[in-house]
Amino acid sequence: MIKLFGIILLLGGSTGFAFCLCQDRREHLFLLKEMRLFFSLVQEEIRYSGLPVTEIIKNVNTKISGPYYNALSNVMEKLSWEEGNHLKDVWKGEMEKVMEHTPLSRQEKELFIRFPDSLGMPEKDGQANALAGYMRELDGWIQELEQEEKSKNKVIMSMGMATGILLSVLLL
Amino acid sequence: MKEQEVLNIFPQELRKRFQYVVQKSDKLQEIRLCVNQPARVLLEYEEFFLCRTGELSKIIGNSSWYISISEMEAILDHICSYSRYAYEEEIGQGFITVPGGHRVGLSGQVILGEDAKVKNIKYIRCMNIRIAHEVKGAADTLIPLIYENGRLCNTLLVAPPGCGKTTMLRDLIRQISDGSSWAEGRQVAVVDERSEIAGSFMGIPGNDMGIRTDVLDGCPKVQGMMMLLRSMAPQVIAVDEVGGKEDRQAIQNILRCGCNVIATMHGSSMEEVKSRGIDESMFERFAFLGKRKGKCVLLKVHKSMGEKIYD
Repeated sequence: MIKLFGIILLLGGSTGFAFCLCQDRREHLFLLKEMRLFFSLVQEEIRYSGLPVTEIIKNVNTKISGPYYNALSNVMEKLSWEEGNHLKDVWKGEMEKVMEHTPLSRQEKELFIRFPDSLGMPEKDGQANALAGYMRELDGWIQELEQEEKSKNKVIMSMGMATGILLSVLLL
Repeated sequence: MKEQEVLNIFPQELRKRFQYVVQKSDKLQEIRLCVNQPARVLLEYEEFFLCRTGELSKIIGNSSWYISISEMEAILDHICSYSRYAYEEEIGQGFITVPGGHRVGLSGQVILGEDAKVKNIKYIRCMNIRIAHEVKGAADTLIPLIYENGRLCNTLLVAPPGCGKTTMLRDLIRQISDGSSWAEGRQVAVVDERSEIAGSFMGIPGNDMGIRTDVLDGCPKVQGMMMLLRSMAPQVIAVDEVGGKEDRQAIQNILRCGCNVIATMHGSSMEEVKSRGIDESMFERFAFLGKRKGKCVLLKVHKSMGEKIYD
């Protein structure tokens, strides 16, 4: 009875570990897609409404989910005309905080933190196009992760279960 | 309130330097900033140099604050909310209006469009921040002169730059809209092309424009006047800085519709008014403003046929 309980625990544990790894990968993909959505929404708003970026963040915030939502709300608060804070500092502070415990790589985090650097173009089209570079880079990463997800997630799950079975056999 | 309003024009890291200046916001007229030059402040027509400590000095010294490119960029970024593209038109016209109606004049290297018109300005290196002053009661002397048996006369305010035209117009609008002991309140519509009259921010006037006033913010005068006439059914339309053929035609159209016009114009004499395309018969009152002992005052008012009613 105890052996059976042990086997179930081993199998459950290894499968659970594999499942967690897969979940991390899914979250990673989700965060990159939300980042991509943010850039494309900002680009559209710049092109069609021509509003300042502080107002765009307010409009875009309702359409973005995940951890970025709270970060964008904080950015909005700190960026008011009265506060007079620098966008670069506020953005960096808030985004670093929110992305700290995410599966995003350093390169991916830096790309999002670099967003204020792209601002400063004197006309709408130029500014909208300046964001295209970020989106291209993100598209590449998303594509890579999506392909990996299809193939690697199955492998990870199978490996997890196989490890559980192997350990059970060895320990019996 | 006004102190904070002026302070808010600057990014947080530079606000300390203006703490002392804004305490004198009632007298403050201009803040002039130029890259590699000392920051200057105009207080009641007297020039001062701004020190790095925030104090004012009559002479340039070691403590004078010389503006760096990065400081100029930081101020500009803050004024444009980090979105210069959103202020393309305003920058192309040479100024941006900030909350409170204060006007920030800009100069740098001009970018011309295909039609040889100014499209934008790059390398902005000089800035002139003109502080708007809402003076309630500024039009107290003029108000009784522009009514004739309870009827409002079409009025043109004429003055050289910096003589209080916009301040006078703003108070006229407020008094006409709210009503005064001279007449009941009227429905006023304002075309505020440069956001200077109402000082609107996100569509809400920062200045008291009266209870019956509709403001069309940031709209070209000619289009704006016709839009308001069709949509808001005004009794009075007010515009700033008219002049030229198109403005004249638009005003004539409005007058034909039975609506009154209150406008301002750069100039100092009737000859100048005529030379800028404004016919004497279009307005019933011409009010000339100017300076006496450094203060903006109403110099004279006369009727269209030249009869003086105030001197």
